[in-house]
Formats: sequence, C-alpha cells, structure tokens
Amino acid sequence: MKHKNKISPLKKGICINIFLAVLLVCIFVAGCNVGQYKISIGDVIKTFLGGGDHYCRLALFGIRLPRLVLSVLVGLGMGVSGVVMQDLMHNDLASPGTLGVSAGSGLFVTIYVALIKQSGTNPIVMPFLALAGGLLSAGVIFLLAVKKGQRIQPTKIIMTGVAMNSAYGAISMFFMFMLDSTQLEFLQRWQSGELWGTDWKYIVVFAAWLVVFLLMTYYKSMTLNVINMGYDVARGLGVDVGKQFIVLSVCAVALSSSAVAFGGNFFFLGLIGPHIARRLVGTDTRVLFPASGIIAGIIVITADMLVRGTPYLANIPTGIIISVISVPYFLYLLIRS
Amino acid sequence: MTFGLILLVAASSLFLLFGAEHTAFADVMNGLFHYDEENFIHVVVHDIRLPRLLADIMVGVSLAIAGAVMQGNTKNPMADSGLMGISSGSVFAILLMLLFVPDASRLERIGYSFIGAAAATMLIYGIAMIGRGKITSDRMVLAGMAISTLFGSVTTAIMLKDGLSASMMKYSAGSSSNTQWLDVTVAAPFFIIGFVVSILISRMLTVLNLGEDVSRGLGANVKFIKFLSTVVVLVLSATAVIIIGPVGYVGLMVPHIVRYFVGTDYRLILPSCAALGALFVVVVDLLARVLIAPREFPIGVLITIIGVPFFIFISRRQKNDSFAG
Amino acid sequence: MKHLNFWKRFVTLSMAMLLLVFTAGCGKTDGAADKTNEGAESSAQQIGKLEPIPVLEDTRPAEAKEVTFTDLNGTEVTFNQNTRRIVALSGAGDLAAFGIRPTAVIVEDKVKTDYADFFEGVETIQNTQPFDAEEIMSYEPELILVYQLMEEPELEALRKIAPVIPLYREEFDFEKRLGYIGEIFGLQENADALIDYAKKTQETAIEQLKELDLTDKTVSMFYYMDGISVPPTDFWYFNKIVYDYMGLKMPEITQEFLSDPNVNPFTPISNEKIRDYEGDVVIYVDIMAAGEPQVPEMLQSNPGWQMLDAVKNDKVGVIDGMLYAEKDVLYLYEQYNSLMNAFKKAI
Repeated sequence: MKHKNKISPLKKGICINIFLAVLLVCIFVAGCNVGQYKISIGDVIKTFLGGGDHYCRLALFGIRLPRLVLSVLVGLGMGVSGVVMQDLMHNDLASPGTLGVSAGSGLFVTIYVALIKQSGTNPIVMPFLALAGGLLSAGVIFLLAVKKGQRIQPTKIIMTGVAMNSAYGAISMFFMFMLDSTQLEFLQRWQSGELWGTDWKYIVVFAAWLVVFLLMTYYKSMTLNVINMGYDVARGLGVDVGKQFIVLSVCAVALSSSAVAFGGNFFFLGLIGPHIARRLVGTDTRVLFPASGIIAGIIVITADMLVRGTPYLANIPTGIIISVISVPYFLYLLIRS
Repeated sequence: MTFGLILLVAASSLFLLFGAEHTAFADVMNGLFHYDEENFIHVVVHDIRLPRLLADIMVGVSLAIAGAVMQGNTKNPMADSGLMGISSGSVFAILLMLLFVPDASRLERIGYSFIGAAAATMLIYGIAMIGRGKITSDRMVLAGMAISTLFGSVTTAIMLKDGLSASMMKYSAGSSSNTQWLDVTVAAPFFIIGFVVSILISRMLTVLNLGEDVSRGLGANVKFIKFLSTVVVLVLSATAVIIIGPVGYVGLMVPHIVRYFVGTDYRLILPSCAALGALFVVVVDLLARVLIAPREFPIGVLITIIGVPFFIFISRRQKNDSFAG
Repeated sequence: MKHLNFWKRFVTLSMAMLLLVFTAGCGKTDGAADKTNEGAESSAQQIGKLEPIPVLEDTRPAEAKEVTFTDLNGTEVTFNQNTRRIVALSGAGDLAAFGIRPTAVIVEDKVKTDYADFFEGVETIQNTQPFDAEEIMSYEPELILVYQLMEEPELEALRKIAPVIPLYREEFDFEKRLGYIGEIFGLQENADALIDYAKKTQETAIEQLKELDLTDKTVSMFYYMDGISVPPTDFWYFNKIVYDYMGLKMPEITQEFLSDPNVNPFTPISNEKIRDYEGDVVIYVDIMAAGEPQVPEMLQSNPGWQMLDAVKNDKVGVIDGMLYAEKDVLYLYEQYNSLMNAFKKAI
C-alpha cells in the first residue's frame, strides 16, 4: 500500500489482476487433483502429458476439466454482471441475485421444465429462456421502481427487486406442484445452484455467449466509469445516460442469465465477487471487470472443490456452499454499511 | 370496520356450512351447540371446520396486524412478515425435527416451529440493530433476505441429502387443512397477547408515524414503542407460522386496503386490519376447500396467486403516496 | 394488573412449552429403542408354511471369461462374465439372493443390517440420483448394473467407465427378472432355484391370505404426509399383491380418485371426506417408519381419521411402506409376512 503514490492505480490494478489470474490457474490445477476417485499428483501430470490409464484420463478430461471450466465461466459471467449492476445503481448491494434478475431467469426455466416435462436438456433453448426471463424481470422491476420524468432511485430498485424475488419464488412454487419427484429434484438442485451443464456441448455454447457479451461490456467500460461518477456528471460529459443504462443493463442481464442457465442460481456470487475485487483494485472498471470475474471464478472453484472432495458434502449443489459462505460476508457488509 | 365484521360473520357461517362433506344448516347448528361425538356430521363441523375457521381467523388477524405494525414501525410500505424470511426459520426447524425426531408429536412440532420462527426473527432484527446508525426498513428487508437464503439453502441441502422433498414441499407451501383444537389452544395465548398489546400501542404508533422528532416532542418514548411493536410483530408472525406455515402477502395487502379507507389513525387501522385480514383468509380458505373437493389447494399458493398482482399494483401506486416518508 | 397477568401467562406458558418439548424429546429416544426390539420380535412371528429364502453360492469360476450379451434394450454388451468387480445401481436384493457379492450397491442401511449375511463385504454407494461418476470409478468396476429406465445420457457417461447392463426393475414376473440375471452371469441353476422359491412363496402366501375370509371385501390403503391420501400405482408392491394377486377390490370412490389425472402422489383427501374412502379392511402404510411401522401421532389425533370405523374398533393393520418399494426376491418373505400380520390385525 505504501507504493500507492508511486504507481498509478491502473498499473497496480493490472498487477493485481495478473496475480489473481495466476492464483486462478493454481487453484484450477489444484482442482484437477480433487475428487472421489483418487489420482496422485504424478498421475495427473502424466495424464496431461498424454499418458495415464483409462480411468485417469476419463476422470480428468471427462469429469473434472469440464466442471472446472464451467466454474470459471460461471464466475466470469456473474462477477462481471455484478460489477455492471452495482455501478449502474451506485449501490454495493445490487447484484443479479438481489435485484431478482436471477430469480426471473429461474422462473422461466421452471415453467419450461414444468410445461415441457423434460429436464431442460436443450443447450440452445436454456440460455435464451433464461435471458428472456431475466430481461422481463429486469423490465418489470424497472417499470415498478422508476417513474417517468423522475431520476433513477437505486434504493427503490433494489427494494423492489428483493420483493419481486419472493414473488418469483412463490410463482415457481406454484409450478413446482405440477412436477413429478425427479423433475422436482432437478429443479431444486438447479435453483440452489448446481453446476449441471458439465458437458462440452453446453460449455461451448455458454463460452461463445459469454465471449460476445463480455467483449461488449468491456467495450463500454469507460462509459460505465463515467456513469459511476454520478448520473449528472455523466450527462455533463455528454453521455446519453438513458441509452447507455439500457445497453449496459441488457449486457449484464445476458451475462448473468447465461450463468444462471448453465450453472444454476448462485444467489450472492454476483454481489461478493465485485465487492472483494473493488477492495483490491479500486473502482476503475477496466481492471475491476477482470478482477471481479476471476475472484468469482475462484470462489466457485473453491466451493466446488469442497463439494467434490468432501465425502459428506458430495452431491450437494455447489451454490449451497457458496450461499453458506457468502451470507455471513453479506451480513457483515450490511452491518458496516 | 363494522362492515368488515359483519362480512366476517357471514363468511364464517359459509365456511362452516360448505365443504367437501355436504352439511345442512340444522346440522351445523346442532354440531355447534348440541355436539355429539358419535355423529359424523357433528364431528365434521365441530372438530374439523370450527378449529380450522378459528385458525384462519387467528392467522388473518395476526398477519394483517403484524404487517400494519411493521409498515408503521419501519416506514416501509412494502414490509411484510411473510416477505421477511421469518418463516424460513420455522421451515428449517421442522426439517430438523423430521430428520431427528420423525415421530414427534403435534405439540412438539408446534414447539419446534415456534423456536425456529423466533430464532430467525431475532437474527434478522439483531443484524439490523447491530449496524451503525438506525434500523432502516431497507436493512431489515435485506437482512431478512440473507437469513432466509441461508436457512433456505441449508434446508435444501439436507432435503436433497435425505430425500425428504415431497414431505417438505407440502409444509413450505402453507396449509391449514390439518388444524386441530390442539393447535388452536396452543396458539391462542400468543395470539391474544399479541393482539391486545398491539391495540394498546396503537395510539403511540399513530404518533410515531408523524415522524420521530415530532413524536419525541410530544413526549413519546420512541425506543420503547419500537421495541414493543417489534415484539408484537414477532409474536404475531410466529403465531401465524406455527398454525399455517409460511404465508405471504396478507400482511402486505390488507393494511394497504385498510389505509385507503380509514386513513392513518392506528386506533382505527389495527382493528380494521384485524377484521379484514380474518375475512380475507377465511374466504380464501373456503375457496381452497370447495374449489376442487375432495382435494384441497394449499392456501399459501392460492393467496400468492391473488397476492402477486396486487403487490405489483401497489408498488406501482405507492410512489405517489407521501406515506412512504 | 391485566397486563401483568398476561405477561405471567406468557412466561409460564413458554417455559412450560420448552419443558414439554425437552421432556417429550427425551421420552422419544427411549421409546425408539423399545420399538426396535418389538420389531425384531414381531418379524420373527411368521406365517406357518412360508420358508425363508434359500442361501445360494456364487458358483462362477474365478478366471475371466469374455462374453457378448444382448441386454433388455437390445444393445450388445461385451464383458467379463465371471467378474467380481460389480457396481449395482439397481437390483441389490436380487443379486444378493443369487449369492453374488458386488463391490458396491445402492441399498438402505436398514436393509443392509437386516440381511447382514447377504451383504457381507459389499460397500454402499453414497451418491445416488444423480450418481457421482468419480465415486463409481473409485470402485474400479468391470461391470455396472443399472435400472431399466435410466436415460441415455447417463448410460453414456457410465459406459465410459465400464460395460453397462440394465436390469428389470419394474418387472413383476420373477421368471423374467431372475432368469435375466441368471443369463447375465451364467448362473441358470441359481436362477431356477430362486424362481421356484418365489413361485412357491407367492402361492402359499396368497392361499393363506385368502383363508382369512376376505372374499368380497374391499380393502383401503392409506398413507399420511401432511394429509391423508391413498398410495397410487404398482410402484408400491403391496398394491400389486393386494389388488392383483389376491384379487381384492378397493372402494369404488378410491378408484375414481386415483384415476383423476390431477392426482399426484400425496395429494391429500379432505379430512371431511376420508370416511367415504374406508373399505371393509383398512391398512395403514407407514412410509417414514424408523423402527416398527405405526400410525403417527399426527394422524391418530386427526378427527377425520378418528371417525373411521376401523380406527374406532382398533382394526387398522399397519405395514412398513418402504419394504415394498423394491420387488427384489430377497424381500419377498418379509413382504408377505408383514402383509399377513397386517390383515390379521385388520379383520
């Protein structure tokens, strides 16, 4: 911290980002060594270099790698989406979870599974449905909380989001009564955040989707920086706040809903990732975006390692671990704020 | 309010008269006043419908008053005990009970449910209180959301681990279909305490609603009132939760409608809320019982279907109200 | 003064409630211990002519033998017929009866202790629904046996680990069920012995059940989960036994109730109406039995339930529902035995 005066925040941010990326890679590699099937570290390395027996290869390439990659992708989506929402709202408590956007995506998938009576296996339909649900709920919240000719009141949006959250919960509860027990279990797991899309064909769709919207969001990072200084300041600098607000919101919703579609509902992830990242690298979104995404990714991988490595926790949706870890952090934030 | 009471009496009679089993008016009268425990119709009226009716009334009154007090106390028109996650604690406690003492008696079940609800409420208020500055409604709602997420996720984890889904689904939807005299008698003392205290503090709540500075100027002990009303909300919401399970929106809808008609004086608001809340729950439960007889809707789901559109309507409307402060 | 009274009442009541909860909680643990003992006694009580399942040996030679087998879906599977390294996601009871001791199976802890000899050295699979591929891999299987209705993506994932063969799970015909397993492992003799045993047991048991003077009587089964309902479908093996093998009728109104497409499992019947669903014989199915199956207190205090004639006359037979969730031959003896006891009580 003493070097603060010498190095510019941006450079410091880049350094921290590199450090985080290295950390992510380390944890990723560590993640390769965790699982119910015991493989020694030597065997893992051998397998990566092309050797290893049938089981090792299967465990690594067929089971662990897809899950790890998915964890990172989900983290990226949620982390970046959370940053956008918090900056747009000027409020630390905003996130896809608290604003009810994830719940909206969840509702659509619930209805899909309930009506189509299939466990949502279509890789193309799921993200679009989740996006539609997310956008719709973002729209509803916006409509309810923002009045024409008035300024955007972030607190009101958040409170409405929280209330809508429970409304969505209640509606999906209603649909859940129509399901048989297998579908019910799929949904319960999904709603509490299970990394279920661990098939390369899902991951490819997901990754492509993420890349598009991540690039778009990153392209807008300077605009977001300006908006973050205040709506009035931004307007003064010639930014069309209304239009940019909508574009950025859509990007954020698209990112979070794809993460929700493939990774399940990680309620607090989009809130905590950005928070920790902001403490490390400051508020410049050019460094904040990657940092937040990487941190969220690290959180997901670590939680998932706990699930896969501990026999008692095995089979519990990863999101539950994340919630249990992050609720105390959230409450701490709440108490401090 | 008188109007509400008359309607309530009418709805209650309908409630006793109609149901899956056909009953004549004379039977109902006999069941109530010349109860014969060998006569099936009498049992239906006296042991199935009557306790359920009383339970519905208690739930309606409790939720509506708790909602009104909470809204006044936090100055947040959207506050509602059902939306605050109090019930998540109770569901969690019931789950633990199913897991460790699966053959627990009815009384124990009520006890566990109450302890869970109380624990969740204390956590929520506790967290909202420790923080710097005042308890704001926003903080309480967010704390409630966090606590219910925590309880909810642990509940789901245990459920998935032990395959209790089907059984818990029913509980977390809220239903009064198995209410018995025992539930009514256990819940009644809490209910009466909560109700009487809330009426007693209604004058102070009106003063408080003028703003904290004003009320201080008028000599009110703001801290004491807030504490007392918090306790009232806890007791009343817990009462509702132990009788019927988690049911939202009643505490949100009823006070809104009442305020529209009777204004801002809590001496009027609270009794009217009580009457209207009871009326609402009784009518909805009547529908839940007769619509698809001999099966039944879980009342919680039915209330939600009515509650969500209403919620959207008032959240759109309330921005114009100065009431929000 | 009025206030003070209320507070006093409040405090006393809450204290009393806490005390009650505690004492009741303590009492329950003792009770549970007693019940398990009773359970052991009552299962020792048996129908005269029924014989327990014969103990068979796994007679396969030790050396590996590659065979190609066409499974029930018509898929060809090549595997080592004499392998001992088997992971079974289905059919634990059937395999145990054959004398086969797989490396790991899905089985309830209670069953495993009740039939300890049959599951000696067999591990219990921890993660079911969804299974954990890595866990299955850690048993290093040479053959994976799964249930009939497993979906293709799941099958695909398992095939990467080892050859996969689905077993009949929903099948009632023991000849088909057991004959198929015999074919898989080349254990036809064991299969024949078991098929013979199953037939004899079924015939004797049903004959004896019929001697109980049940002709023209209607039987109603109830279970309870936050509401009284009727267990639907033949998933519950007792339904098959009672309504099909024994040829008994359920009350007409129950038939109507079950044929309603909106009725899901556990859809409760109104307490006011439950009396209409009462047949001549009432059997309660306890699906959450910890020890000896019983009518839970929640139901005993239900006024609708109390109005049943069978309840008034203490004529409700009780069975453990989970005992009938699988149709494996290993449990057949116990299944008929406890059904017999329930009917004796209910008449």
